Amino acid sequence: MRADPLLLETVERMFAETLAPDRLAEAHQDGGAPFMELAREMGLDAVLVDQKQGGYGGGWLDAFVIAEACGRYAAPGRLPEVMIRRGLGEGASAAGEGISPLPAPAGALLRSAQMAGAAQGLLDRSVAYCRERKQFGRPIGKFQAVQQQLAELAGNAACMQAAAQQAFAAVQQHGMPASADDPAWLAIAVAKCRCSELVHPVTRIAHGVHGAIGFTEEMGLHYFSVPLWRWRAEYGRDADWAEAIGRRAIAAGPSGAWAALTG
Amino acid sequence: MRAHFPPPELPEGAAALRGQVRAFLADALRDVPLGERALSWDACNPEFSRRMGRAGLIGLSLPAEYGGGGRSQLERFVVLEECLAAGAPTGFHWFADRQSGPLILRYGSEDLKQSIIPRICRGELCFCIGMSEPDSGSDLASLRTRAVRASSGWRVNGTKIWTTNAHHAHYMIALFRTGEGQRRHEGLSQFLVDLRNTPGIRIAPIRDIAGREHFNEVHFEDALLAEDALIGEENNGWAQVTEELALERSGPERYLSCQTLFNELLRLLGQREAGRSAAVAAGSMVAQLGALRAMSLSVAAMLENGESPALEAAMVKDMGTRFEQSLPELAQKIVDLPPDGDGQALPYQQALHWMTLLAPSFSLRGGSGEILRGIIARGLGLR
Repeated sequence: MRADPLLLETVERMFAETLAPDRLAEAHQDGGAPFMELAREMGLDAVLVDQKQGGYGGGWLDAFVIAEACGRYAAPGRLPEVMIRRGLGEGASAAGEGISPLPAPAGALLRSAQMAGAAQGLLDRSVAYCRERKQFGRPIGKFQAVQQQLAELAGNAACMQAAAQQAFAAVQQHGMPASADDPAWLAIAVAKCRCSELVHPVTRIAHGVHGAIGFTEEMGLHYFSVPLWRWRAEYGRDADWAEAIGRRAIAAGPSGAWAALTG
Repeated sequence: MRAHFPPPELPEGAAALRGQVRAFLADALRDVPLGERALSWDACNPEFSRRMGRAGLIGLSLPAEYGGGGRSQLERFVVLEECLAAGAPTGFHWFADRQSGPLILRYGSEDLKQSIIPRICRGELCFCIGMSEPDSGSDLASLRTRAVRASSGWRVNGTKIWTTNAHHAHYMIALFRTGEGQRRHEGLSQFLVDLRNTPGIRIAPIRDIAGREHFNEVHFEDALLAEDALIGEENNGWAQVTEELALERSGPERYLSCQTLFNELLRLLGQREAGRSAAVAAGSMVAQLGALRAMSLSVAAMLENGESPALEAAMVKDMGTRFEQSLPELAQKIVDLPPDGDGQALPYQQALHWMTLLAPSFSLRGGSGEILRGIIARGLGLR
């Protein structure tokens, strides 16, 4: 069960070019209309739409690729929301203006992928900065204290990626859950809970290793960290999802909880 | 380099296998006391291992021609996680099943494969891993125990330490210095040491903080090994050990060591009226388990595909052991019962007792957190 490698490559190429760090501020002007236009021309908003209806006919793992990349490159506009909306068979304006909130599990699913992407974006930026910035006569990334921090950030970002991807895979396999009794519910709950929980360590380390420059608008870390702080609470905070997971696990008992996890 | 954790798919037969393992464990663990189940893969029980071998559940991914199950790494993963979740005392065969069997399969001679692997699969053999030495812990490449060529084989002198299960084991897979390379990593070789039939080997158990004897000091004093004790290529030991460590670091035992405690905690919360903060804490633990499982399962799939996910394996172990170590602490925050190792105490209290005592060992076995994060930093291109 993998995403379409061709889609992955196409998205990567387009995003790397249009959302390069030095063009990001420009891309975010006016709500990112040119990026949204380009994405629509490429059919990225219709990745979940059936081919018979003029869509790409992809699966949820393909949707993960786009949502994760949007987070990782700090894409402007609301491409992920439009993509999910269209995938659920509901209308949405091409630019995503005035889009109403998604149903809870779909929204939590989407946010987990965007958060995993944004965490990876912060990691990429932080590694690049620590290799370049010199203090005490050498790049700060050569100091073990900094290396240990970045390794922790990398592990957290990887955990977010694995949890989010597992949730998209579960939805691809079992369909979008209508209730907590449906099989993909737990994977989504785990993903949103973990991704939200890890926002703090991830942003703390990324901003920490950047020092004062990371606090400036010019540096652009806020394109990743500010959405992370917002997404953390949208479609359920970590504590909300944790409580729901915990109540079900306690009611199910040890073997029931284990069966749900390994289902 | 960027870490990747592609979502794996469990193969067709996995669900049936899971049912088979659960049924086996329900029966086989009936009389195993809670104190032993809490120790899980740290508990050596030769009788249990033989039973598991008879059920065909050891060496599941080793080839059928050598008595193995001939199934995939992902199916083996199912067996491991079910054993850990149930607190099965798998310590007697754990290292043989996890790394020594696969190592011998990959590098051993045909004779060796035929004589050893079937016995591993029957749960008859206990292996230990001879890596650390008194002056070589995290800096493994500095090890000094030396094997020199003798008239018929190899003569070994030196000391291995912290060797888990050496006092139960039939064999040790040991890393010795055999040559002088330009770099310290060169000139190391792996050997199969017959611990029970080699004169010149002295095994001295070391008591741990829980009062158990599980690890040892192993002295080699002019111990003579046969010519064919060498495993793999002479002076290629470092590369072989590095491969082995990917198997050692990414498995479900890196986040499920405290599962008996977790199970008893859930049971207790079910009997009481669990408040919101208890439910949030329990749910967060489940979420961490679920995410770690996704990572670990993904590494198993990559190993099955012949990839070498060393970076990903280091991440699983670093995050997994932190999670395991946090469980006794979190449990104490939500339940007001103290740890109690008495066999008559509540199962929860017994499990809490053992896990509080064992938790410090989680981050030292298989590489310390600092070493693992050093490996991750290297993967990120920082070193």
